[in-house]
Amino acid sequence: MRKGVILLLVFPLVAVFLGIFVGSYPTNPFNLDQLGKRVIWNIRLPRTLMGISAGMALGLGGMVLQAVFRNPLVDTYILGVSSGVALGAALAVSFLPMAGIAPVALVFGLLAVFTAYSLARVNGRVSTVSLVLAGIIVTSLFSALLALLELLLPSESLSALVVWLMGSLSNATWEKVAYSLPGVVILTIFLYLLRFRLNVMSLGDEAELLGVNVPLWRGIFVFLSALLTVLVISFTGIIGWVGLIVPHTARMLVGPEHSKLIPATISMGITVMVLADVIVRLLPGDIPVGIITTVVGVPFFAYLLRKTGGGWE
Amino acid sequence: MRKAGILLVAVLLLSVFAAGCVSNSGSNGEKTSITPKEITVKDFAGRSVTVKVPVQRAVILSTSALEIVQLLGAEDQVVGIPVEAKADALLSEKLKNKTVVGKRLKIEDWEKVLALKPDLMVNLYLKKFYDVDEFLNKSASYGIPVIMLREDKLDDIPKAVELLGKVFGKEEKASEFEKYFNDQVSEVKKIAKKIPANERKKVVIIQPIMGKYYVVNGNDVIAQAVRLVGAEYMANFTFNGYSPVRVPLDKEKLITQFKDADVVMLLTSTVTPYDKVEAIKNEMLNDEAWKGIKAVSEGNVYILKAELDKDSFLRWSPRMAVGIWVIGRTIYPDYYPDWKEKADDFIRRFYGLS
Repeated sequence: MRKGVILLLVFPLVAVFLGIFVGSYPTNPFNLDQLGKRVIWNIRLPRTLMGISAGMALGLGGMVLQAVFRNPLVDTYILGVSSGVALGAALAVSFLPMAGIAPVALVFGLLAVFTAYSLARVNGRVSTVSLVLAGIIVTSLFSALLALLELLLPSESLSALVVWLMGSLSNATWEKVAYSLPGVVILTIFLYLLRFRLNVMSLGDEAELLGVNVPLWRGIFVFLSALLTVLVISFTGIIGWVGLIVPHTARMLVGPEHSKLIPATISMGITVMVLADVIVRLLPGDIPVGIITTVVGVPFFAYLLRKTGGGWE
Repeated sequence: MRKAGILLVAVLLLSVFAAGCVSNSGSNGEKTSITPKEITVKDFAGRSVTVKVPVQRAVILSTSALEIVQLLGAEDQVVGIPVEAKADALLSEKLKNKTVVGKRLKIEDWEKVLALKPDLMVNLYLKKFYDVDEFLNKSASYGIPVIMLREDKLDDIPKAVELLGKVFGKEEKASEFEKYFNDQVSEVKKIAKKIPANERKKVVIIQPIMGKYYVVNGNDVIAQAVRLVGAEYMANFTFNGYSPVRVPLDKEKLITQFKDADVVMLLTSTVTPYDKVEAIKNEMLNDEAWKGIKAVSEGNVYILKAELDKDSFLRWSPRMAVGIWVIGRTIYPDYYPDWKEKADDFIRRFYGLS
């Protein structure tokens, strides 16, 4: 047990250390030149902090939905968040260039979730099936609108949009970190305070027998999860698989009890995101980090699935 | 429920009927009285193309080729254009009002093309951007000859004008431009020779798009112009034998690889207009990490326009006749004259605009 706790602390710390000291510019921690210090402060620290924000937010967002809907295959993208953010980004590029991508993407990401949730709410209740179907409807609608906008975009903006949508931490700045990380930390604290409520919600309909207003809390947790996700992907673009793999793996390792699961998800989320970004920095060009999380995450997930059978009850 | 079903079927049937009834509202090319003769030319993909000249009903899928056609005064011989042409300030309204048949390089509706009965199609030989072979096979199956252009080299610009001049029957105007272009290149070369070796500047060009930085690669026509004016172009990337014209690099890689650059040029684009690039430039000049690049620390960061506006000259097209002067003046202001007068003269002489 103690070994597990130490590992959960050590892994993100090692990842952050690498995030600060690994990159194309040589930065020996014991012999830093002036430019090296500037590179660390102005480039790598914002990148690493955005990675921390993304790892926490996407991991926790997926964890909350997996608990609330008692389904290991759910993550926030199933609510249509990604299609909302993508549409917002395309709108910002084509019609609202002065508004900036992040605010418009954030609004449309939340709008997508709100629409999906409203559609899924039948007689005051939201079932997993209805939410998945509503998510598919919203995703299809927003994707069709995105495709329409793509037809109008000039080719150079279209290819840039496609790259942006794959998700990247390379455009992280202190300003973007200031908008994203504090919000993610506050929501994380809030979630930790609600950990017992999450435990109860993961009982499903039995939660109602314990006097919990399930529809209300389900709505609150869906909103928190969506907010966590858009606070990151409106700045970074869509980073896939983290919200599915990280909480799922964490649950396999520490079990479903949220007082352990939340720290484990945070630890793994930070480790995965920051390390994925370190890999990107060592590759030529500016490859979107979303490609790495998918390419590395999918086989890892398949391995875990084969080994454990995917159970996490 | 049953009523709704009937209504749905009725709406679908009506839609099909309406679609069938829609007439082609595209413009028709005006016929000239010249008797066409058949010639065979070699296009930029090395293909032999037999075409009846002068061409009367061309479908042109690149804005650069349209700019050449406009320069030649052959707008009446064009029937189809790409949607991007609408944003090109050098093209006349007459040309912009032709039938839109697709989006840059790609035909969206072949039926629309066939309805225009084209006797030639002009496109770019860019295998990475669309299925060139499929396009050529389809055109051949409909009996439409295709001339492929390439936007690779600066020298190819007058050659493309010559080729299109031949097929559109506008050889005289084409010769006039060829002479003009070659004179500009010769003048620039003469100035470049005067620049001493110790004043030779290292240059890199970056195009910021959606928060990413795309480095203009050494094979791009703008990089060729940098070398023409007597400077050294720093970026030269090849991946598995392929050289893209733009390479995305993160900020740290840019600082690491181009820290010795004497001049950094920031290119505008349709996505990142001038004011946005200016904000990026100011951010660069005030950022300690960016100052790791010599040019940034010395304030030698310049914005160059590369859109489809009237005052943008940095694209593979006749515009580059002025573009080379823009590049020269930006890098070596002590050697190259102000290009504004040249730009006005070029626009007036070849596009009839002021």
